[in-house]
Amino acid sequence: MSKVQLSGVSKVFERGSSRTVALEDSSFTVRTGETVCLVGPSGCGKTTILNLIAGFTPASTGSVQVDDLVVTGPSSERAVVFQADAVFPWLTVAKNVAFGPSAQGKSRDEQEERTNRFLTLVGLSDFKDAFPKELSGGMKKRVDLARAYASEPKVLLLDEPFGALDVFTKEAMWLAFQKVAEAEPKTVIFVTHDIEEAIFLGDRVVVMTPRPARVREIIDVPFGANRSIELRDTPAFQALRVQITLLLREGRIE
Amino acid sequence: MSKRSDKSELKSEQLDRKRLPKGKRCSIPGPAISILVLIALATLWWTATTGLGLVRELFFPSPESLFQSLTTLNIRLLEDALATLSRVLISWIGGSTLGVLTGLLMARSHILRYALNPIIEAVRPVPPVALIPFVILWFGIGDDGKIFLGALACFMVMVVNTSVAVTNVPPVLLQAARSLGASEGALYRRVVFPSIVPEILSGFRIGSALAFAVIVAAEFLGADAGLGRLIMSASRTLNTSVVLLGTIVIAVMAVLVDQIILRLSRFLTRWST
Repeated sequence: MSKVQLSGVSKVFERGSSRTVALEDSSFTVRTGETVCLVGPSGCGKTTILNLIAGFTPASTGSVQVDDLVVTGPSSERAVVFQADAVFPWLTVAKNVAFGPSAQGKSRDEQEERTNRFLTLVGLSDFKDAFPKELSGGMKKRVDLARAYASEPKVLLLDEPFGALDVFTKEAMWLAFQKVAEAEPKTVIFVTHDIEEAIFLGDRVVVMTPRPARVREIIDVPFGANRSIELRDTPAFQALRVQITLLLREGRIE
Repeated sequence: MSKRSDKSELKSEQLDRKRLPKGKRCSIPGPAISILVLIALATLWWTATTGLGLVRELFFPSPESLFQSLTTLNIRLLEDALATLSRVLISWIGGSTLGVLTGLLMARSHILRYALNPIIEAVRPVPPVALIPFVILWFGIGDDGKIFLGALACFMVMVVNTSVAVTNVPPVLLQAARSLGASEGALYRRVVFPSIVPEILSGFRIGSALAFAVIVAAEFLGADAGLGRLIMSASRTLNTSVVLLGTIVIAVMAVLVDQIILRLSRFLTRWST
C-alpha cells in the first residue's frame, strides 16, 4: 500500500493552435489504505487525473508521486479498472485474472493461488473456464476487479468502472467491491460521476469543478467500514449527497 | 482487404440463425439442400452427355470419359496433384508468415511503415500473374519462381490484413496489459497477437485460394510437373476430359484446404462473439 500525492498538477492538451486545459493546478493527497472517490460532471477531467496517476500520460506542470517517487509511466504498482470492457476476450476468466501475476513472472502456484483467491472474493469461481463472451456486463466487471487485485498493485485506480451498469447491478458491484476492498486493503482512487457511488464507497470524496477541472472541496465520509446498501436511504447519507450536489451545481456553466 | 466481408463469411451460419426473421427460414436442413443440388447437377451432367448425347464430348466430357482419363493417367495425376499442392502449401505458409511478421513490424516501427508502405501499395494491385515473364527469366521454370509468385500474393494479403488489424486493437486492452505489468514484448505476444488472430485467419483463407490460382496459372506457362502443366498440355491436343479432370482435382484440393482452415479458425476464435 502506498500514499499518492498530486502537487500542483495541471494538464493541457494542445492540438494545432487550440489549447484545452483539462486540469488546473490540482493538489491532494490520498493516504495509505484509503479509498478516495473523485466526483465531478462528465468530461470535467476526472479521467485525465487517473491517466496521470496511472502514468499513461505525463503532467504538463506539477508532479504525481506514489510513495514519494515521481510517476513516469505505467506500472503494475498501479492497476487500472476501466469503464470500457477491458477483459481480454481470448482468455478464459481464470487466465484473465492470472494475467498480472503471469506477466510479472510469478510461479504457477502463486498464479493459481491468486486467481482462486480473487475469483472467490468476487464470486466467480464457478466461471473459471468461461470465455468473457459468455458473461454479463456485471460479471465482466468482476473479472476486471479480480484481475486488477490479482496483480497485487500498491494503488488501485478505477475509472467509472460501473458507469455502464444498471442500478441494481451497480449496487451489487458496490457490495462486491467493498468485500474485496476489506479483504485486501489497498490505496484506492475511484473516479465516478455518480455522487451516491462516491459516498457509498469513499472514505473521502474529492469534489471537482468542471472545465478546467480543479479541486473544489474534499469531504470526509463518516460512515466507517462495512456499509450496507440501506445506508443509502438514511438522512445522513442523503444530506451528504445534497451537500455534494450543491457544490457541483455551483461550478456549472449555465 | 475486405476484412468485414471475410468475417461475415466465416460466420454466415451464425448470422443466418441470428438475423433472419423466423418466417423466412425454410424447414429443410441446409446440408440436405446442398447435397440435393449436387445430386441434381450430377444427374443433369450425365443425362446431357452420356444419357441423351445433347453435348459433345469435346465441349463437355461425360462422366465415363472422365473416369477413363483418371485410369489412364493413374499415378501421373497424383504426381501432378502433389507437385501443385506442395508448391501451394510452401508458398502459402511461407508468404503468409512473412506477411504477418512484416505487418507486425510495420505496426511497431514508424520508419519501417513509411519505408515499406509505398512499395506494398504499388505492388499490391498488380496481379502476380503479370510478373510471370520476369519470374521465368529470374528463376527459370522450376519450383522457385512459382513458389515466389504464390508467396508474393499471400504476403500482400497478410501484410495489409495484419497491419490494419494491429491498429484496430482496442487501446484499452493495451493500457490494461501495461498496468498489469506486461513488458513491451509481452504486450505483443500476449495482447496484440491473440487479438489479431481472427484477421490473420481470414487472410489465411483468402491467401490459400490466391495461392492455388497463382500457382496453377504459373504452371500453365511452363513447368516440369503440376496440374497447370497437365491441363495446358491436354488442351493442346483438345483432350478436354483431362482438362476437366485437372480442374476438378484443383477444386477438390482447394476446398479441402479451405475446410481445414475453416475448422481451425472456428476452434481458434471460439472466444470471439
